[in-house]
Amino acid sequence: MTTPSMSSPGSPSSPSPRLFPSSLSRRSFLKSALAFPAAATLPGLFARAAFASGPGDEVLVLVRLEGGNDGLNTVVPFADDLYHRARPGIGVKDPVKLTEETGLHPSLGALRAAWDEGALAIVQGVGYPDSSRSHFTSTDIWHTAFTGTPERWSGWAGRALDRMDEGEVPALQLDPAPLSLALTGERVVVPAVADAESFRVRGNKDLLAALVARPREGVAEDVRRAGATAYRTAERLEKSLGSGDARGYPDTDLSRRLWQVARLVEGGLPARVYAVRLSGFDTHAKQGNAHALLLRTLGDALAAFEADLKAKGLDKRVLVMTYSEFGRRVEENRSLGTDHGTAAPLFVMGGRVKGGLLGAHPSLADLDEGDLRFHTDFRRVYATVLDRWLKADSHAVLGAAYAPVPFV
Amino acid sequence: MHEMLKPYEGAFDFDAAAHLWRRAAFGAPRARIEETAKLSPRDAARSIVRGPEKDAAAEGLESVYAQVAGTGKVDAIRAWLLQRMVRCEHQLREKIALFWHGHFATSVLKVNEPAWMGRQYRIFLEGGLGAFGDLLGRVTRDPAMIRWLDNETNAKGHPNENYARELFELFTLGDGNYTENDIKEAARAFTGWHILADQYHFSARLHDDGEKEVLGARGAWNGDDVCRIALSQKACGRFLSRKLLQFFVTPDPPAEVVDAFGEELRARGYRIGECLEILFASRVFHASRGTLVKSPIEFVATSVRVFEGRLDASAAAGDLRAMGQDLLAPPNVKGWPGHTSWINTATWLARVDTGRRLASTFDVRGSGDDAVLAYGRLLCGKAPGAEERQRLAAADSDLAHALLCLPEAHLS
Repeated sequence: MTTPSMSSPGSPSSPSPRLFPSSLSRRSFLKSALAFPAAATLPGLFARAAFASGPGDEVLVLVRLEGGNDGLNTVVPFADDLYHRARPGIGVKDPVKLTEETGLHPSLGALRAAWDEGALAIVQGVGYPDSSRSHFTSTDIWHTAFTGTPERWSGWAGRALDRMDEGEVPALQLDPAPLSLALTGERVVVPAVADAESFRVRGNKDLLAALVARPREGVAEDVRRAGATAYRTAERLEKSLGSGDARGYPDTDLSRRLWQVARLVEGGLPARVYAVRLSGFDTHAKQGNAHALLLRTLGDALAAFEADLKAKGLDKRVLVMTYSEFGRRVEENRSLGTDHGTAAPLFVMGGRVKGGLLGAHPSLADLDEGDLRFHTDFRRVYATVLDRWLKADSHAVLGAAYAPVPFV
Repeated sequence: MHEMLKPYEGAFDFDAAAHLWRRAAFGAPRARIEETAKLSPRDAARSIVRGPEKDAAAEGLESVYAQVAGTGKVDAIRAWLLQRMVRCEHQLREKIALFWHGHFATSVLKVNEPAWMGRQYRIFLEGGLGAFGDLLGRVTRDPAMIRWLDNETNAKGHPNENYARELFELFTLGDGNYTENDIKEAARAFTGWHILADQYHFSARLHDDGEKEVLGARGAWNGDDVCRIALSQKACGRFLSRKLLQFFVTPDPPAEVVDAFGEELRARGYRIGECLEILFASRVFHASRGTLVKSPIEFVATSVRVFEGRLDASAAAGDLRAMGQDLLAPPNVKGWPGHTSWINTATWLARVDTGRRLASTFDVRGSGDDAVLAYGRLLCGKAPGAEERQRLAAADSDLAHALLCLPEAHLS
């Protein structure tokens, strides 16, 4: 971890010495002002533009499928005999057909609506050269966006956030696990919460704040900063969360967290990136029911989220992207499961997405030692999101230029 | 022997003894630290590694284990383990068992048999300070592990690679020290290592007894052979050395110390207690004060022991989950990544809340700055600063909780 980017030297609860309303970054202030050159002098419009996150504040929601999602049973080449031959025990027999050759696992039926509306893009054959079959190495590669020895031990989204103007809460992980390396920047401090609703400080707040006010050195400073950020974030979340109606959301952790994301975006939290996670995809044995349940959890949550955003008029400001560290072996194993593999599809969803299938399904006839060959480097997906959605310079963030994938 | 592993020759004072107790144990109250401070660094390390002649608390807890496991409730086993960590006299046995639990990182969420989890943890308690090879042999045959990594269905002709892969990547060698082919071959050696009636069972019919080539060695290997071949690799010494150093000494150990301690482990047949005795008396150990972040379990157990409070072990299991260390349910097969990953905004607030519950059972002796200093030296990896001492001295009835909310109280 590095120097704090947003800690104030005084008490974390003391007002920050900004010239602009705290919910607004300087960049978006300027953008709003430029967007309404004539209206900027009108107090009503000005205040509105200043207090809501204005247009141009696109939000990215990262959904990590932890464990290596079986892409082949997620987006299914059901017309291919080789598929059914490789998977006599666990092959999907009744897909939700999207095209004459390709369908979704039936548990993802809820995504059909987004597909029909053209709000769901499926990027096929995503991976990287010499794919690692280690969960941990491959996750690090996806998060740092560096294959081989990482040039920098920081995440691709974290580095993008580093380049944006600081905000009170630049991004938010709705997951109590250690902060995802994807969101770890070299400058930025990203909070993580298990539940935005119950994330509140209990106790003598002044005393607690005083104990973490003075900057320390080394690891003590890392701990202090987390404490100070926690106290500050708790206040900000309370302001932005508002109440809401969970109607339409199923009763799962993933759904509850996405519901909170929708409320926080609506409530003007200046976070540009949110991260949530669904675990359990390491399906080495008897994967049928387990995988179906996971995909049901995913599909239902994403569909409810998209519908909620639409109802709130926010769907054009939010882009959802799923990813997993790798796909799985084409041939099922003796345990009615699948071992670690390589390329897999990922989903991109949102009101401004150009829906459809992007790229061909990797060939089942031309395998690399039993694994699918990727054709779309995952960093092309990142570059597209960075350049076209977050408006961050992908070349600088990723250290190289990658051709965009036209899903947005 | 490498310079940094040679015996520490600086002053072995109260603070050095407190450091030893925080790292090799779960802290200790003042009187115990004062006793240890009278010893030489080597005698102190020997005493903490070998433990007392008699451990009455351990015997008492042992006598109720069957009852605890019989409940079939994983929270009952968690509470029993936490009581052990707070109360047992041979503290290092408890701490090394926690290390091995993080190393072999098996989760009840998949195993689904709380009693099996208890049985696996007891392997770590019984053999944690012995030879790693023996421990590995027992874990490889442990039903919880066999289920956790899907070896139940690893059979001749259709190997399941999960155990072989994690054995190399996470238990012995580390990524980059084997090939995909080594994994495919090693998986064959573990075919037929199954479970029958809750016990390990070798199924000769489902075992592939053909020739395999694993890490350059060719033969009709079985699972034990693969473990032995892995242990003979230089990489295994280095891998285990790094993990032990990161757990007990410093988050980022210098490469030459990793290599040297790895050689020490190999040369001594991976006898863990013997090697830790060297480590706890070493220069590198005594130069590492305040460099590690306490795990949630360390935070809880150390606080209770330092303040001589009472542990509500059944409530603690839930607190630990909120702080990111769900005992018997590590996040994945790599275990808890540790150190700074323990701390984020979510786990920080959970530590503040847990601290309040713990402190409600603490009876603070003394008051004002004297009490702050006295408890601070036992609790904190780094001394609190003057500004915070002032605030703390005025904290009155909040003193114990406020001490637990200092960043320094979360360092070891």
